[in-house]
Amino acid sequence: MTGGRSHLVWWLLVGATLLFLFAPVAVVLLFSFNAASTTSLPFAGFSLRWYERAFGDHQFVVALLNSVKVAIVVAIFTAVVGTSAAFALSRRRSRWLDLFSSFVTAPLILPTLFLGIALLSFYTQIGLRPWLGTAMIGHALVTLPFVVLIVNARLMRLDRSIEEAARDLGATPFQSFRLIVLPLVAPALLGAILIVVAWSFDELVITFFTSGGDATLPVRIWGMLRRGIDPSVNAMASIILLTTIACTLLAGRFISGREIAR
Amino acid sequence: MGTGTGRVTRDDPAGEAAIAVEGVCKRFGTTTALDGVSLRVEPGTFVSLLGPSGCGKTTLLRIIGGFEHADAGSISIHGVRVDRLPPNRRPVNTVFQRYALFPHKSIFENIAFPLALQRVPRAEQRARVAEMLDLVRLPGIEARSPAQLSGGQAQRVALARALIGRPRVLLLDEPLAALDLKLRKAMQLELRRIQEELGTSFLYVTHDQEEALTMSDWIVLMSEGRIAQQGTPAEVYERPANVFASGFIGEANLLPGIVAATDGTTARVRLADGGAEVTAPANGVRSDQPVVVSVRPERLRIGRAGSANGAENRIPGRLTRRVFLGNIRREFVAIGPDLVLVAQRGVDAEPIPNGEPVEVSWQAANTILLPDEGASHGG
Amino acid sequence: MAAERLGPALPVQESAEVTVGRPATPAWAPTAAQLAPALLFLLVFLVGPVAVFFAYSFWTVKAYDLVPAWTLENYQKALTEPIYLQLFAQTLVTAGLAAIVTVVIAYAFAHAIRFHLRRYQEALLLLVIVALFSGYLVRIYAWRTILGDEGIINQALISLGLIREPLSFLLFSRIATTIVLVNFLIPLAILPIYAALQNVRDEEIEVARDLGATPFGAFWRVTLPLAWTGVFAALGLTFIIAAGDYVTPQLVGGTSGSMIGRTIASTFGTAFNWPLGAALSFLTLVFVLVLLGLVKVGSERVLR
Repeated sequence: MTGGRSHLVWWLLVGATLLFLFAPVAVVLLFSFNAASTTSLPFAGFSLRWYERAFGDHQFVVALLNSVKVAIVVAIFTAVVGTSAAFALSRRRSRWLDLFSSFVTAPLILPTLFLGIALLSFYTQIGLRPWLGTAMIGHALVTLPFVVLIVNARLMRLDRSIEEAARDLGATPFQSFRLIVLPLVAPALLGAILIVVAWSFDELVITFFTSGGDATLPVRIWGMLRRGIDPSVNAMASIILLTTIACTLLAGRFISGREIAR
Repeated sequence: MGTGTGRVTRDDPAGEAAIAVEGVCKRFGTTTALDGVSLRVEPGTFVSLLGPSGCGKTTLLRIIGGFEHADAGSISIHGVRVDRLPPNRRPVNTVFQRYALFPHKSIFENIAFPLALQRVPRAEQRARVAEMLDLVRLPGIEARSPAQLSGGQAQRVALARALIGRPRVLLLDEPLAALDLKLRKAMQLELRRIQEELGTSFLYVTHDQEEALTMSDWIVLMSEGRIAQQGTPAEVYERPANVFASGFIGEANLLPGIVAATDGTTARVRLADGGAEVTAPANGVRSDQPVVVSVRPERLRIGRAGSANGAENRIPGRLTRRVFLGNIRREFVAIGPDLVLVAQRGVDAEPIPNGEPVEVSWQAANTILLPDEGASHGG
Repeated sequence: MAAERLGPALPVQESAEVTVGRPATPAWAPTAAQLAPALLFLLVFLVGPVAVFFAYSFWTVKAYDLVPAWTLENYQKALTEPIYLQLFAQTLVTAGLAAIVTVVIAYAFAHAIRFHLRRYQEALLLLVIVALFSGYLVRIYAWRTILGDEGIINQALISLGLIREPLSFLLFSRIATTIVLVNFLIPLAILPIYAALQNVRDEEIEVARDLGATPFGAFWRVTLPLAWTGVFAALGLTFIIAAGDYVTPQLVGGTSGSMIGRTIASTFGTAFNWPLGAALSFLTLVFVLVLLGLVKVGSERVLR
């Protein structure tokens, strides 16, 4: 139908877009291994010195651990609360549930700056001192829709009669959930959790405004950037990149891109 | 048909029904799915719930299975009220239209699922699964996964899974609808064989009248949330109680008319279209009552005008079209400006060219008069 | 026929015990219970903060303290002082430009993988998702390395002999802000557009072509209108997020590429004027939503 020439045009377009998308990522990864102390060409040879320097920085290590803590807590919370909500949404149709869907997804379409300062105002007003835990709440707000949407999409594809068959054959509601539904939804849930972790690990703005003095990895980098570029920033940034890319690629094994695209 | 069934007879009304449904109503929002349905399934019989889509048959089955709750009425299974019981505590099992096999479990795990829930010893599980697979003629496939099965095999496995707990009643929700015609026909006989072998009561939902006629001891015909008629396959076919039954089960020529005269045993009806008169058993109709005359295509004979035979009803017409269907021929005869009769003839019958004047004839005894509900109730 | 031996459906006698077969708990109870945690969480931590934030926009600051003055002063200030008006205009222009460029590129990409490279669409889509989640801050600061005077582009152009002096307008400018916004918004825009194109069936386009439409005609009259909800969603999402961004103007925008987000962030930082920041935030949101509303009405007229 389409000739080889027009195919080539589409490949060029897609290739150029991907190049544009991944150029900054590649630049950071490459320069993190560059021996020179300036982030400019030409390349001065391969070196791990910036990683060594990064891990020698106490604040960086603290920030890394904070990032891990936030990601774990947020992932567990959104997995439980989001899966529960996804179940409710998949069971019945009603205008109220549609309304709830838009409510859940609202944080996704608000700028993180808006959410961050709104949360900060709220915490101040109710007298909650910002710390790592309050930052987790902001993360959960934005990542909850990922879990709800992805798990709900999988549940909707699940034939309801499979669950009914389990009940019919003698399973209690809990047994039918544990033995039949959960194993079938688990891959989607796992994929969603990985997306949550990737997002959380990368989040700067909400965390910056709501974590008080507790820095996560992006917040630490943000602080360093204000003081001019030290190439060890590239090493720290690469750790974020490798984590999020690994999580997302792994998520792609459990859920299709179409499920995320909705 | 029917050997080994029917342990409870008409003369034994005290015997408890396998399923007794009394006055069940169900609404979904503003639509009424079931409007006071009552029926009994006698133990060991094969009963079909037959009707067009949307008539409420699947809803009724789901209420009996415990997947929906009735707004009013009661359900008893072998004398025990089950209305408030969840599906896992009802002594019935269901075979679903789309098999509903657990995709992440092997065939063995699928079939043994009810046994595993009851912590039946592994050795017994193995023996009973093997027994069930023999019953459905798929021995030795325990290790396969549902994805490796064809539609027909999947439905047999679903059947084995539903039967392994030895339910006294099995509900089947159009289990053959997803299969192709040839496989469906084979499975119909297969299902009937299994039902007779086990003596389990089957309540079988279908929209396919031929399927219901082939398999059932008893047919419950439903329309718009009510039971339109019930009886043996022969009864509902030969003596439809209303226009709906007549049109839905088998094919019928339905000719509206007015009763011109009746003596209580036979009646004469003037057809609304064309004005021809037809003689039929009175079936309780009154003079001047609007009725619908129902005649099965296979009861009609077509001959050249004036050819003599003993039939009471003769209407002249013109052959308009002939369709060849392999073993039979279907012929369309115009007998009025807008009235066409469908007749069925063997392929060996003398061919009559299109457009020829012919005479359609049939015996009065093969004519059924049905009250014209459309005329009397306006709907 | 075994018919005579079979039990007929006897008319069932009226049962003395006429019950209404209803389950013990209402049918919606489990749904409500499953929804409750998420709902509660959102009510407290989404509705709560937005409400407080909105209230703040009517407060004032006195001696480094927030005072509930219930005044329109902040809005008045935001809408009259030239510096804010100029920032609003600059923000809407830059964000609008970025959103439009983003959506055009994203549409082309989604169209390519949906209709022309469909064998690879799963893999290509996964790459888009990887790009979406890989490095917001990292991505933005990396552009300094690419666009700066000593950056990759300038160095490459100089070593190729195309220029002598570095192109200094590449960084700390509106161009830089736009490029960087487009860079991290593209994946966000591809997903809804791709989802919408998934719902356009091949037959619908083929019918249009069969009835004599040119490829562009089929696109304009059939594909685009059918996919418009997705395209508009992408446009709206990217516009809102671009207009509310502050890391990009902060890191690469300089003066000419500055945006309101930077000012809002500073009112919550060094400038300490939360009420003004809140008023600026809500005004930005209102401007963006009004513009999007106009686009929606206009597009419905054009795409019929």
